[in-house]
Amino acid sequence: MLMRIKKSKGSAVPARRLPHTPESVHLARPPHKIDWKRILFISLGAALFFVVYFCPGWPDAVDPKGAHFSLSHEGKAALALFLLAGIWWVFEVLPIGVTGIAIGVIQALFLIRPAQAAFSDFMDPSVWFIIGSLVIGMVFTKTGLTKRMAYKMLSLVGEKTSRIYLGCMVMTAALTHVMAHTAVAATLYPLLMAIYSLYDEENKPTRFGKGLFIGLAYTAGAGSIITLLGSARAAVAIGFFKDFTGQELSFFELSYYLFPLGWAMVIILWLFLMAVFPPERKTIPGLRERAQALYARLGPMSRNEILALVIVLSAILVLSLRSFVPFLNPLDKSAVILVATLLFFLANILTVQDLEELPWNIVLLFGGAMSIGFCLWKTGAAQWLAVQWLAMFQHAPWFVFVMGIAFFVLVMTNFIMNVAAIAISLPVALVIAPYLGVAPHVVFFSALVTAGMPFVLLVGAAPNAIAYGSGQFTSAEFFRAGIPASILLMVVLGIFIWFIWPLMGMPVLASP
Amino acid sequence: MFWSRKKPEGEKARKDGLPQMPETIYLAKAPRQIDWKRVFFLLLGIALFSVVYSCPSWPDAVDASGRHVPLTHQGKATFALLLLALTWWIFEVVPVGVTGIMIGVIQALFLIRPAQAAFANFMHPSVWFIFGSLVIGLAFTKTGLTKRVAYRMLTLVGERTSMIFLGCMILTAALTHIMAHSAVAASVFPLLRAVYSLYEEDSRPTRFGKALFISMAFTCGAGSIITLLGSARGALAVGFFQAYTGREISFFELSAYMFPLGWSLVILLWAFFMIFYGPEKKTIPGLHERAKMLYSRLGPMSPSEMLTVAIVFAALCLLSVYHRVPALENADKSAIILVSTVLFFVLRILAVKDLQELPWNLVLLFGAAMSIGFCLKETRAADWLAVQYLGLFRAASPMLFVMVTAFLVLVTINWMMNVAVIAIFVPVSLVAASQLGVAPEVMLFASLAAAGMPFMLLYGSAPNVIAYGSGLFTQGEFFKIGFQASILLMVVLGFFVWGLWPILGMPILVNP
Repeated sequence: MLMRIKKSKGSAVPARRLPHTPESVHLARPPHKIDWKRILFISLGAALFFVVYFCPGWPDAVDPKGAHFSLSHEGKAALALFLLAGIWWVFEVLPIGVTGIAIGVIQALFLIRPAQAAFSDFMDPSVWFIIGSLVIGMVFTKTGLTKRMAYKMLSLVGEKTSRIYLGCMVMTAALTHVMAHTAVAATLYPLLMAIYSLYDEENKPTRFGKGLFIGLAYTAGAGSIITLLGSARAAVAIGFFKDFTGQELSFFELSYYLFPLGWAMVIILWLFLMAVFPPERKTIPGLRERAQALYARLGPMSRNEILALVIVLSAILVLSLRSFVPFLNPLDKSAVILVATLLFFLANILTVQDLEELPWNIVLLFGGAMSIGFCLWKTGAAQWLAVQWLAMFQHAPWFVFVMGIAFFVLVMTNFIMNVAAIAISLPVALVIAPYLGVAPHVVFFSALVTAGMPFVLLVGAAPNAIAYGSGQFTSAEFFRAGIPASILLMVVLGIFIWFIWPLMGMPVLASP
Repeated sequence: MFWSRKKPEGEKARKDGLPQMPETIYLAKAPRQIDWKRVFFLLLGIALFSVVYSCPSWPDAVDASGRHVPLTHQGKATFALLLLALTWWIFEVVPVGVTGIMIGVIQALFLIRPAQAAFANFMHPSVWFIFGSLVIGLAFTKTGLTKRVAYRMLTLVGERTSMIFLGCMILTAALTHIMAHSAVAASVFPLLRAVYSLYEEDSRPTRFGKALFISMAFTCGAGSIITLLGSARGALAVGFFQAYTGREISFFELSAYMFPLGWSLVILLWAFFMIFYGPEKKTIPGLHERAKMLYSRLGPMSPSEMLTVAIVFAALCLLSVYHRVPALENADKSAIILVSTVLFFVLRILAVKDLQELPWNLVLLFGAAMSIGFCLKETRAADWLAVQYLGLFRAASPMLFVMVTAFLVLVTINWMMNVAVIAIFVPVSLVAASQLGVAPEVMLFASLAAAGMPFMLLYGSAPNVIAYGSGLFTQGEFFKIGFQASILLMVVLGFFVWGLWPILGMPILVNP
C-alpha cells in the first residue's frame, strides 16, 4: 500500500528540520492471522473422507429376514463424502454454498456418480421451489407488506410484554405459512429490534430480549412445518417420499396434519419462554401509539403491494387446489410457484438487481443437500445405513421405532442444515418402515416435524443465526434453553403420534 | 414519501405570515410511465407462442431419400417456446435470467418435457464449467492480477504507437484465454482509456482511438474462441456436441484447433487496422515512464496473487492433460475447474460476499440455453428442422454447407445473444451435417468460430458495448469497419476449413 504521509524517525531527527519524505512508504501488511480451528476442521473433514474412502470394504448389513445388503465401493465413498460435508457444514469452514459445490465436485472426481447426475441434481425441481419461495419473501419485504403486517400486529396486541411475546410469535408463525422461515426471520428481525429499543434504550441484554429473539428462532421453526412454503425441507421431503413410495402428498394434506401440531408448539413455546425468560417489566408504555403512527405513515396500500398480494394468494390457491381439481394435477409444483416469480418481474415489482441479490449461497447449499441425498440413495448407501439402523429396532414396538427415527432426525437437524438432515434421514427411515409394518406417512410426518425444530445449536437453521445477531444471548444460553424445549417437542410429538394423528385419519400401520 | 419541511402557500399566506405547518406532507406520486414498447413485445411473444402452440400440426419434413420426419406436438410446442424466448431475449422484456426461468416453467406447465428434465438441465455440467470460469475471472480481478499483467505489458512494449497497439491487442487476446471475454473487456477498458489520454490530450476522436477501442472489441471475440474459458458459448456447444454425437471434445483438443485460428485473426486484425486505420502519431511519449511508475506502485506480488496464479495454472494444466493421465481418465472437466473454485474459498482468496457478486442472471441464462437445446433434441424438433434446412442444400457440396452455416451464424450472432444462437444452430447443424456426410467436428468448430465474432452490431456482445462507451466511434463507423473485418474472418475461416484444419487432423468428411 502506498501512502504519502510523513513519518518522524524518533529522537535522532533534529527538532527544527523534518527529514526528507521518502519517495513512497510501504506500510507493513497486517500480520497474517492463521485460523487454526478452521484449518483443523477442514483437514479433519478431508482426513475422515480419505480414511473411509480408502479403508477396506465394510461388512454387509443383514436385515431381519436374513437378506444381505452389501455396501458398494461407491456407497462407502458416499458415506465418506457425507462425513466430510457434515463436518464442513457444522463448523462452517467454507461458505455453506461452496461446501455444496464441493459435494458435486467430489462425486465427479472420485467417480462416486457420473458428473451429469451429480451436478444436475443441484437444480432439481425442489430447489427451484425454494428459489420461488425466496422470491416471494423478497417481494413481501420489498413492497413493504411485511412492515404493514408488523405494525398492524403491534397496534393490536398492545403494551403488555407477555402479549407482545405472544403477538410476535404468532406473527412469526403466521408468516411462515406463506414465506420461507429464513425470509420471515430476516424481515421480522429489524421489527423486533425496533420493539426492543422501546423496552431497553441501551440495547443491553435482558430477559425480555432473550425471550423475544429466541422466540423468533423457535417459532420460525415451529411455524415452518405447517405449509410447504415455510421451508425448503418439506418440498425436498415430499420429493423423496414420492420417489420411495410412489405416492404424492398434497399441499393440503401436509398442512392438515401439521397445522394442529405447529400451533400447539407455538403456544407451548410461548408458555415455556414466559417461564424461562419472564420479562422484567410488565408493559412497554407508548408502544401502541408509535406503531399506529408508523402504520399511518405507510399510507394506503400501494399498487405493488396489492399486486404482490394477489399474485401470492393466487399461487397458494392454485397450489392447494392441485389436489382437488384433476385438471390442475399435472402442473408441477415448482413451475406454479415460478409463475409467480415471472409475474413479479413482468409487473416490474422486481428488477434484475433483485434477481442477483437472491441468497444464492443458500440455493447452492440446498442444491448440495439434494445432490448428497440422491447420492446416498442411488449408491445404496442409504439402504445399507437403514438396515444397520434397523438392527437396533428389530423387536421394538412401532411407537418406539417412530420416536427413534424422530429423535435421530432431531439430533441430525441440529448439526446440519435441516434440508440436509431430511435429505439424509428420510430415505433411511422410509426404507426401514416397511420392515416394521409402519406406514410411510407417520414416519414422514414425524421426521418432518423434528427436522424443522433445531432448538439446540445455532448452526441448525438460518433463523437461529439471525436471532443470534441481536447479541441478546450467547450460544451457551441458546443451548441451555434448547434442551428442555426439545424435550417438550418430543413429548408433544409422542402425543400426536399416539393419539391425535390416528384420530385424524393418518395411516399408522401399513397393511401387510 | 414523508417530508417535514415548510412550504409557502402563495401570496396571501406570505402577507399574513406563514400558514400553519401541516402535520405531514404527502408528495404526489410520480406519474406512472407505461413502457408501451415493453408491453408490446411482451404480448407479441405470448401471441407468437399461443399461435404456434395451438395451430394445427405442421407437415412432415421429407429428406433426400424420401424418409418422413414428423414434427411431434411437443416439438411444435418447443418452436413456440423458442419464439417466445427469443422475442423476450432480444427486446429484454424482463431480465434475461428471468426469461430463462420462463423457459423451464413453460416446459413443465405445457408438458413439453417432464419438470425434472426441464429444470435439471439448468445445472448441466457445462453450466457448472462456465460457473467455474466466472469464479476464476472474479479471482483474477479481485486479487488485482489483471492490473498487474496490464501494466507489465505496457512497460514491455516501449513507446512506438504500432507496438503499443499490438501490445494492447495481445494482452486482450491473452486474457481471454483464462477469463470470460466480457470480463476482459471491462478490465482492459480503463487501461485503454489511460493509454489514449496520453495520445490525445482532449480525448477527441482520432483514427488511432477508433482503432484502439474497436480492435479491443474484435480481439475479445477472436481470443474468446481459443479456450473453453473465454466464453460461455464454448462450454455449451461442447456439451451439446457430446449429447448429440456421444463424443467428448477435450479442453486441449478445442484449443489445439482454435489456437492457430484465433491468433492468426488477432495478427491479421492488427495488420488490417495498421494499414487502413493507421495511427496519426508514431510514438506516445511518456507512456513508458508512466507505466513503470504504476507498475512499481503495485509492489511485490501478494500471497493471494501468487496462489491464484498457481491454482489457475494447475487447473489449466490438468484440463489440458487429464484425459491422458490414466488415474484421471474418467474425470470431468467441470469437476476439475470447480476444484479451483473450492480452493479459492478454502484459501480465503474469495469470501461469501463474492459468491453473491457472480452474475447469477447470466448463469440462469446459460442454464436456460442448455435446457432449450436439450428440449430441441428430446422432442426431436431438431431433426425436423435439420431436414427442412438441408432441403436448401440439395445439390451443394459439403464444404459449401459448412461455410453457409458459419455465415448464417455470423449474421445471426450480431443481433442475438451468442448462447441462444449456439442453442439453436449447434443441435440443428450437427444433425444436418451427419446426413450430408460432413464430420460433426468441422461443423462445430466453424460455427463456434463464427459465433465468437459479432463485429458489425453493437448488441452482438458485451465487449462491443463496452468499447462503444469510449465515445470515439459511431455505430455507423463500427458497422463499416466490422463489415470489412467480417469478410476477413470468412476468408480466414474458409482457409482453415479447406486447408489447415484437415492438416491438423480434424475429420472433415465421414461416410454417411
